[in-house]
Amino acid sequence: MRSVLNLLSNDEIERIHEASLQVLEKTGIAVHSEKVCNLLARHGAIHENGRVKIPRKMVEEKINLACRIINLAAREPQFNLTVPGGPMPYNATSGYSPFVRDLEYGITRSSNRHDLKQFSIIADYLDAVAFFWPIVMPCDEPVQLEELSALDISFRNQRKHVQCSCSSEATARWQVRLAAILAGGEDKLRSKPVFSGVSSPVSPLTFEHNAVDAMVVLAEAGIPVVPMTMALSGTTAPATMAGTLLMTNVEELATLIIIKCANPEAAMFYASDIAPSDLKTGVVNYLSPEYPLLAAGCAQMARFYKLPSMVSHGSSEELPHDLPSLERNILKVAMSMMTRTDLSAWLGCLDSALNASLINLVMDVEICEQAFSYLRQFEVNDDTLAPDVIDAVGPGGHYLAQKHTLKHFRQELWTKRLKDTIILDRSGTGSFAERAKHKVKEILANHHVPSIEAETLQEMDKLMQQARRELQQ
Amino acid sequence: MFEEIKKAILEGEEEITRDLVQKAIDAGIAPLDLLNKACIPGVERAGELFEAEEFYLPELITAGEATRAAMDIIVPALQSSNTEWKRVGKVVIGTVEGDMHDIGKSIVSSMLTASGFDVIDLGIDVSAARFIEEVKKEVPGILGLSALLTSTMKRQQDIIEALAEAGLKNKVKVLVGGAPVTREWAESIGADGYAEDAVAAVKLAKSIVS
Repeated sequence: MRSVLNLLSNDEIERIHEASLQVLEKTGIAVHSEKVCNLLARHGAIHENGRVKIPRKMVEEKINLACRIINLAAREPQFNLTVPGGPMPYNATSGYSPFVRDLEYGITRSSNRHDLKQFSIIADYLDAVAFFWPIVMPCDEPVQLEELSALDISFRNQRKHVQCSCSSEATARWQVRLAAILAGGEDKLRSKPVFSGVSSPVSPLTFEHNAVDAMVVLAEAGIPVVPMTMALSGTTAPATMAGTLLMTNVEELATLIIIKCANPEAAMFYASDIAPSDLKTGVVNYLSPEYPLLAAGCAQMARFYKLPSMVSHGSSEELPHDLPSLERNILKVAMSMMTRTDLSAWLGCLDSALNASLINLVMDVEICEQAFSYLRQFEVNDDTLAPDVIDAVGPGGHYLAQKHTLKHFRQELWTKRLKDTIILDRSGTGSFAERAKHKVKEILANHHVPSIEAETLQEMDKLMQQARRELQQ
Repeated sequence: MFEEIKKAILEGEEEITRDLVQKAIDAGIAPLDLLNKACIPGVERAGELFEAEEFYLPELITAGEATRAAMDIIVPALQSSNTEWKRVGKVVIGTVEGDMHDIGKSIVSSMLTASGFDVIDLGIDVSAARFIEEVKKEVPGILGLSALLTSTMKRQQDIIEALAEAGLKNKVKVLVGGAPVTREWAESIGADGYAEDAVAAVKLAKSIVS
């Protein structure tokens, strides 16, 4: 017995699948990379003027190669993840914001290396952060170095798996080299991918050359690929829910085909962050009711193909100062998690992922732990059905004095008290945000992240110096 | 032995408590010692844990039930040995006529028992005449009247008036409760007290008898 938010019937899943095969075969995708077009053509695709049409047989063949289980390795083995994994989704920080909410002054400003380091330390400390997205970009770095530097800072300052954005072939190559140092060589990196790469198509149906070349480099190196498709209903996808899910599914399958052509062993998450557009402004509407429903649809499509799935849902998008806003966020996160995707990256996010906050990271983790209560699994057996107890009490009695009640209530009923949590502690002073800020400072002052071995660090330093020279040329 | 009984009470183990108490009596341990060194400390500890928000209602109530089981053996033993002792107080309690709601009243009843009161629970749908009859027979310090419906609240007033007519109004403290009942209502009908939940009810009852 457990809650699952489903949107699609089996028949509807089949229809989306069938329509996806038709779109891939008839409409095809735009691939802005000669290299990748040729690669796809060698595997049976029809390549005409940058448009690649993929025959049904080829699609089905690549779907059959899909990796059902993906290992996300970490710097230290105790943080390794196998996906699908536990009963709850694995949550990560949100990602790649160019802005940060300053901890001291509360103003929004450009993010830098120091900010990313602080986020890393907090993420290392918090158990609910299962893996790490570099949540803010080190914008004080030269732009060509940002993503490599983000990976480097994340490796050094926290011990969990890093899922890093990767938007060019050159970045991908440097990221693979950096990770290989940590894993102990490029061969070892294949079995121990200490990072995975987020590289996305552009809706509708377009694989821009930097991203698609990066995908191929990652796939060849055995690094799991996270396409994070972002179809937007009404602007970059049809205005219908079904049409948006179809668009997403086509882009997910196209990514799968590309990486499988590059390396039959390559792994991919069915990763999406699709949402409706606000058709008054054209801007993405993360607060709409369709947002979690679309995620539910994506999770079902992923399960249909037996692909591990991911969304970037749950972001509270605001600083909760009071109990009602906190409770609203808990319900929002719970609903999102009920889609039962395997991974979700959202912790600490603000302003539709353009901004991030240390305070929100700590608050979101607390929200996350509270939301888990909606995802618990309950047994259905003779003992829990309790017909004998119902018989013994009979009509009109009560269950308070039953041994059965005594035995089960603490597991089955939510008995966690608000005072068990640090931020919500009523004996604490100040607003929730103030208490969270206090916790952030406490962690930063007291949490020591073990360092990478000196020899490995030296090699990483050397590589980073080389990258600095070469990437800026 | 006393510690074992106390533990059994705290774990809500009715049968184990009963067995242990019987064995203690058979072994010649004074019933008053069993009362003062095992039962009362056990049930009081349960109350403390409840106050500290560590115990929940099922734990408090099963501890009360275990205590009641112990008392069923200890009280006759006290009487046959002519030992002088006193209950915390006596309460007659019930849900008023026309109202079938049991649980709130039962929680109060169990918690009063757990706190050492001698509780006579008349159940649900109890007529005014029956309440009067029991007050005459049992001579309780406290009469508890529960009503969960706005339509049956009025019965609480009827019963208080009937008590006055029978000349019993000053001989028993009437406490009223139930979801729609308010302090204002309690005052307007001449009740002696009102509590909004079971914990408050026990505190109120204790303050009345002390």
